[in-house]
Order: sequence, then C-alpha cells, then structure tokens
Amino acid sequence: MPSECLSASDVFKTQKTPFSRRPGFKVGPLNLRMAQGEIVGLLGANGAGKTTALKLLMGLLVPDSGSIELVGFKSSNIEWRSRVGYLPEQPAFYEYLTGREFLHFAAELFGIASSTSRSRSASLLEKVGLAASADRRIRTYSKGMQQRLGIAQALLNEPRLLVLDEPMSGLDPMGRRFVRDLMLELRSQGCSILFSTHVIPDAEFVCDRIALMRMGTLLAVGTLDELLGIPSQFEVTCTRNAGTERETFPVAKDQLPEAIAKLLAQGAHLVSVSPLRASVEDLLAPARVPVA
Amino acid sequence: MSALRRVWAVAYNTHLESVRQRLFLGLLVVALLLMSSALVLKDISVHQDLKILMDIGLGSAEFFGTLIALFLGSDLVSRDVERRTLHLLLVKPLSRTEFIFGRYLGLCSTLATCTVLLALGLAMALWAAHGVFSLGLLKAFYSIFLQLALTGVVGAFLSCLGSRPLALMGSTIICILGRMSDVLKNASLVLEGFPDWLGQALYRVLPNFQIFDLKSRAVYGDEIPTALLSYLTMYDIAYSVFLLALAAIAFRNRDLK
Amino acid sequence: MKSLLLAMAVAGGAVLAVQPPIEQALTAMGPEPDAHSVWTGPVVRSLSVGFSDVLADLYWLRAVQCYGRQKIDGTYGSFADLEPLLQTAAALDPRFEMVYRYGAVFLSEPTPVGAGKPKAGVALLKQGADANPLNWRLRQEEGLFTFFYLNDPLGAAEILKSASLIPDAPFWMNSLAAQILSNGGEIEAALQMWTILYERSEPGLLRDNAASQVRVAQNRLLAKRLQEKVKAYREKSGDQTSSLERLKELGVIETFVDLVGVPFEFDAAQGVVRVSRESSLWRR
Repeated sequence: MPSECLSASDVFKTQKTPFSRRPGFKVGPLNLRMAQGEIVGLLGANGAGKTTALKLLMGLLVPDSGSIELVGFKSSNIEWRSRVGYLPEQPAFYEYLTGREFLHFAAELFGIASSTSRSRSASLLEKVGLAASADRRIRTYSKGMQQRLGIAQALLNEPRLLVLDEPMSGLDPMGRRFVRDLMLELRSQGCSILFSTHVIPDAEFVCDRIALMRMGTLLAVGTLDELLGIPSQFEVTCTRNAGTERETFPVAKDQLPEAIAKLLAQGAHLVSVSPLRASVEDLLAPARVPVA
Repeated sequence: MSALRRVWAVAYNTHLESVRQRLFLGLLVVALLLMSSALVLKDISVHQDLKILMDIGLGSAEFFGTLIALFLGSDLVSRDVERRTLHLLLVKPLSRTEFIFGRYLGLCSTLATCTVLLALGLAMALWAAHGVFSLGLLKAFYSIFLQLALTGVVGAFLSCLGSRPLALMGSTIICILGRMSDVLKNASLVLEGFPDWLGQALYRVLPNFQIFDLKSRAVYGDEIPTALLSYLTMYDIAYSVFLLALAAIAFRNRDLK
Repeated sequence: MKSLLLAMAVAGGAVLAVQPPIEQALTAMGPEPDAHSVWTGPVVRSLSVGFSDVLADLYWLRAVQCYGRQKIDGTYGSFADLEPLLQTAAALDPRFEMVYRYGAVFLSEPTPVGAGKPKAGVALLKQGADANPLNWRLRQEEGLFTFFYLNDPLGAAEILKSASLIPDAPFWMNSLAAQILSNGGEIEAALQMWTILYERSEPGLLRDNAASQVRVAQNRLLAKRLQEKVKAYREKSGDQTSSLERLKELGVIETFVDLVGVPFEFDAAQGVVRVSRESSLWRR
C-alpha cells in the first residue's frame, strides 16, 4: 500500500469497570491499514465499539496489546499528534472561552505561530460557518455549533490524517451535507479520513472503504463492492404518461443499456437505476454477518 | 522551548478560567468588606482595631485561600477527565506531564492573585485606619501564598488519581493532618503503643502546613528572617515537583473514557 | 518516565533536606505568641454564631496542645498562652467542668510541671464554681487549691464550708474544713486531702496528679519525721553530727534517702531536713 498513514495490528482492549466483577467490554482484534488520501468509514450499530476503537487509535485509551502507527510514527512517539486531527464524539470545550479563543489555545498547543494562528482560525471559523459567533462564549453555542467548532479545531494543524467520531451527529441536513462536502474536499487535497457513523448512507456516499464493527470486533474492511459483491441485477424505476403511471422492474446487468434505451424511446421518464444487492444493513444485522 | 510554550498556554488558560468564573470578583467583595470593617472596628475594639484588622486580613486570606486551593486543586485534572475536555487537548502535541504542570502553574497564578487581592484589601483597610502595611505583613502574605500552593498541589495530585469528590475529601484530610503535624510528631508520647518511627515518618512525609504560619509573628512585629522564607520556598517547590512528578507517572497510562 | 523518576528523587531529597533548617529558623525566632493573636472570651463568643460549644471544645483542645507542646519542647515557663485559651474555652461553654478542673492543675502547678500561677488557677476554679453553683466538686477543688497552692487555710476552710452546703455534697466536706482549721498548713492535712482527691477522682490526669501529690506529701512527711528524730537525739545526746549517713549508722534514723532513693539534704546548723532538688518528688 503506498504511503500508509494509519496501521493498527492486533490491538486489544478490555474495559473493566473498577470494583465490578462483571467481565469488561472487549474490543479487538483491531486490524486496520489506511492509505494516504483515503476515506474509511467505521460503521456499526450503537455500542459496537466504534468510539472505543477510535480512542485506542488516538491514545486516549491505552491498549492491552497490539501496535499502532500513525502518519509514520509509533503511537508512543507523540510526534504524530501534530499531523493528526481528531474530533471526539460530542466534543466538550472549555465553555468560558469564545470559539476564537479556543482555536488560539489549540494553536498554541500545536505550536503554530501566532500570526498564522490568527489567520487560520479566522478562515476556519468562516469555513465552518461560525464567523458571526466566533467571539461569543462557547457556553452559548448550540450542539450543532459546538460540533462545527470541533471540526474547525481538528483542521487547525492541516492534518494528514483526520479522525472524526460521529461527525454528522447534532447537525442539520445542511450541516451534514457540509461535512460530506468537506470530507471530499479534504481527500482531494490528500488528507486521509477515518470517521465513525451509524448512518449507512453517510458512509456509502463518501467512503472509499468501509470498516464494519460489531460487538467490539472489526468484521470486515473493504469497498462496497468487496463487501456486498458486484451486482448482477439492477432495479429500474420509470414513469409514463406525464408521471401518472409508475413502474419498477429488475434488469440483468448486461441488458441494462438496451433496456434504458428502449424505455427512453417509448417516451418514459427514467427515475432511478440502483444495484440489486444486499445492503449494508443486511451485513450489520447479527443473523447474516459474514464473519471475516 | 515549545514544551514551555504549551505548559504556559495551559497555565494561562487555567488562570483565565478562574477570571471568567468570577472567582476574583467574590474575593474583591471580601476585600471590600474587610476595608469597610475598619471603620466600624475602630469604635468597638478599644485601640485594638489595627491588630484585629491584621488578624482578619491574614486569617481570611488563609481561610478563603485554603478553600479555593482545595476546591480548585481537587478539580484541576479530574474535572477535565470527567467532562472530557481533555479529549480535545491530549490528542494535540501536549504530553500528559506538560498538561499537569501547566494546570498546576495556572492554579498557582490564581492563588497568587487571590493573595495579592486580599493583601491589597488589608493594605487599604490599614490605610483607612491610619495603620501601616509592614514588611512583616508582606512576608506573612507570601508565606500564606506558599501554604496555599502546597494545599493546591495535594489536591492536584489526588485529582490525577481519582474522582473529584475523592480528591476533595483526601486533600481536606491531608490539609487537616498537615496542620497538626506537631501532634503527629509527638503522638508516641501521648498515645500508648503508637510507634515513634511512624509519627516521625508521618511528620516528615506529610506536607507540614504549620511551618508556614507566620501570621501572629507578623502582627506582633517579630522579625521574620528572609532565610526562613527562602527555605520555605524551597520546601514548597521541592514538594510540588515531587507530587506532580508522581502524579504524572500515575496519570501516564490512565484511560480517558 | 526516567526524567520523572529522577525529578521525584531529587525533589524528595530536597523536601527532607530543607526541613531541619526551617525548624532551626523557626526555633531561633522563639516560642510563638500563640493565643495572643487570638481574641479571647467574649469576642469569640459573640462571633461564634451558634457554634460556641464546638468552639469551646476547640479552644480546650488547643489549650491541651499548648500545655503538652511546651512540656515536650521543654520551653517551661512560657505557658503564657494557657490562661487566655482556658478563659476563652470557659467563656464559650461555662459548664465545661474539665476546663476548670484540669485547667486549674495546669495553671497552679509550679514549673516545670505547670505554669506556676496558683492565683490564676484558683481564680479559674472560682469562676467555674460561680458559673455552676450546684457543682460541689468545683467548689471543693477551689477550697483545696486555695489551701495547697495559696497556703491560705482560713480562706480554704471558708470555701469548703460553703461547698458543704451545696446539695449532694459529700458528708466529709465539713470535717475537711475543720481539719484544715485545726492544723492549717500541716503536711498531714495535705496528705489526707490529696488522698481523698486521689480516691475520688476518675482515672486520668487528675488522678495521676493527685497520686503524685500524695507521694510528694508522703516524702515531705518522711523528711519531717527524720528532722524530729534528729532534733530529739541532739537534745538528748548533745551530739552535733552533721551527716545523715552517719546518723543512720548510729541508729538514730532508719534511712537517709527519700521515697525515690535520693538522699535528703541536711542543714546541720539549723537541724533542718529537706527534700533534695535532685529528687523527682521535690516541689517548691
């Protein structure tokens, strides 16, 4: 794999509640490799261990075993942190600071020169749509605004790897679209992105590859085609007679161009053509899990 | 160099926190009350107004300061862990050790501001009562600040190990024990079967807050040797470094949930 | 990790190393004017906002600490803070019996055992007895202390008589008064009264004090007996032997050492036998 920016091998972690006899929540084995400029979606139901996995990668949780490398550094060497951006799930800020002040504070920690910090904070605040409220205390921010600020602080160091935990949560549809567009834009600039979500279309839309998690285990990692297979049939939907009649029917893959040409010749309106295959939901549903 | 810059950033942010949370405003009110009490005390205390003023001034600095040091100290790291504000910081090039030292320096600067505010309050009250803010008083306030910093470091240490209530309880108990250190030292003379070595060890190991108490000496105008203050400063710094380093070791592999 | 451990080692060493010079510097400054910096009685009571009992306990504890610390440090004679602390504790909780009883012992006993202020001790007991008119024990001790420490048998007898009028006062109180009047200042009376106090006080410091006072009185009594024997021998034989040791060899006296084994002092010119200052049973 050319210029790897993340590699986790055989990472295990058992989270025990102190003073409790119950067996702890086990995460692992985590085996994941990411190339530079790739978007990987970590997909799983609530409680699948996505956040734990990301915290392990970010060093917030200490793994019981296994090794992690980030942007070419071993995780024990904190050099990697200046090249990685991280957005935790529901980020918590020092609420007595203003949005701008928080970014300046974060820039200090990154060691960014103060003139650069000023201009970069301003442009990021503009970008995430917080320019107007940049000088208000974070205490007064809505959940969505805090999420946007969280994204801004993760981009402050112009990271090579961006790790986002549920980046769309708390955002309105406009905000979700903004985040999706942002991810695509960052990828085009060569940034790799690992993000977790439980919303399947979000993952399907932007991801190069998807990592499926269930009960603490990474089930499978691959492209949609790899995970679901290349479809042999498509479902075609069209309308006729100015939209009064609606029709849906399956078409084999090799007959698809002909079928569409025929429909158009008949004056029908083509509504959608979608591959007929198992959905990601099917993969996540416990009964049909193809254990990797 | 950049490590210093990060420690400084955390310290400044910690100081800013107490400014924004109106901590000093409350203390200003105390200082103002102190000043106005000067006018009342004059009439009811039979020529003792200056002494009482100084007693109140030094006493309230130590009392309020200790409360602030206990509460802020035991919140210092544990609150960031519990509120998960730390998750945003410890993925930046800030080591956990730098974070702990920065937080503690910020706390010290807050405590110094508190002490200065109350000292100013006393100075103005004394001025209103035609008294003098002596060099001895200044030294006593400095010694109070050292004591507060030591109280704070105990809280900070415990806040790296456990939850906020535990840290608060623990630091309060240690604070009380440290104010009775001579009782510990002599415990074997009073309690039958209490081993002398244990008393001596506790006396040497627990923070000794009694040695910082120069209040009455200052009020009665005793000479306070500068050498003593330098020794106290060294004791303070050494104790803080020891506890913070221990805290950093303990905090190094703590999971942030 | 290594640098942290190193920092810990250096700082830990420094903590231990810097403590002795601090202690030296503090000792060099002399004893602390402890209680003088604290307001006394009425002021504290008015500021106690409903917690006067707790505050009284704290002041009492402080008084005990102050007494104990000075005894341990050996800074005898500087019990200056004791009185204001006791006064304050008494003002905060006037029915706090132990403050008066123990406090009077702390104050009255001559140095090095106590502050050597018998007047203050008796005054404290009087204050307690006045504040608790139904407490015969406080009044009794006021009387006894007046006798022992102020050498005032008349005053003591008066006080004991008034104590005997308090309901529930023991029957022997009146005879105690009579005894004092009959042989005022005599060691026998002191011995008797300390014995009574010893038998009737609860185990603890007061009882221990009474016990040691019984020994002191017994020792003095022994000296007195020896002196009487020597006097009788001299009158009879005209022999002016100047050594108690020699007198013992002559069979005049049974012993020349006191109850703890320290030889008595003998003033041959005056014919007086005294307890030696070397003896632990010596009192001024």
